[in-house]
Amino acid sequence: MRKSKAMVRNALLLVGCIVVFLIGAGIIAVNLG
Amino acid sequence: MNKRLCFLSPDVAHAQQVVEDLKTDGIQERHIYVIANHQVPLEDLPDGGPEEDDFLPAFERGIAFGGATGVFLGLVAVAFPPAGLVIGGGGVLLLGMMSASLGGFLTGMAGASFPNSRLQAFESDIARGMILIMVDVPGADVARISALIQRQDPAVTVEGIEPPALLIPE
Repeated sequence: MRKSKAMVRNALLLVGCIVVFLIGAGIIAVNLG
Repeated sequence: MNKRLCFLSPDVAHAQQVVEDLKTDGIQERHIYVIANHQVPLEDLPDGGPEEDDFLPAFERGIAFGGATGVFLGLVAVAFPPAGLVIGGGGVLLLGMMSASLGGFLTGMAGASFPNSRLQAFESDIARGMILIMVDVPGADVARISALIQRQDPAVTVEGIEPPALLIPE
């Protein structure tokens, strides 16, 4: 895998992580609020 | 299942010859990676190589440890519910997913600043000016390709390392 492709994949994985975390936080906030 | 063969080539001419042999044998250029230090001119060899940093291994570890910790915390919260809170199985799942993503994010970011731990074994040889060549070959072809590589220089030792990124498909 070429370097630029690997960097794009890494960035997508990080963004995916943030999205999953925020969705989880949102669900918790809705349930507690 | 592809297997990644690694070997050190003493100089550019040898590396070019081996890469040419591999291509003639039907191995695509995108499956061949060449890594050298900055003083070695790679010319038309397929460079770039696999990830030079430690992002992916660290990311996988982060997902695993974070997920395990989150599920554990979720189970503890179910067993000993904090005052006024009712947590069901969904809460365990949610905590697990959130912890996995947080763990993956943090360790991935940290890992990106370290050189690839898979390449550590070759670091000193690369610094001395040798050229690391990696080639992904189908499992059934390992012996044949190894022989092909050693035909150029019998002194070359071919090592296999595990194919990268089992958790996350490339």
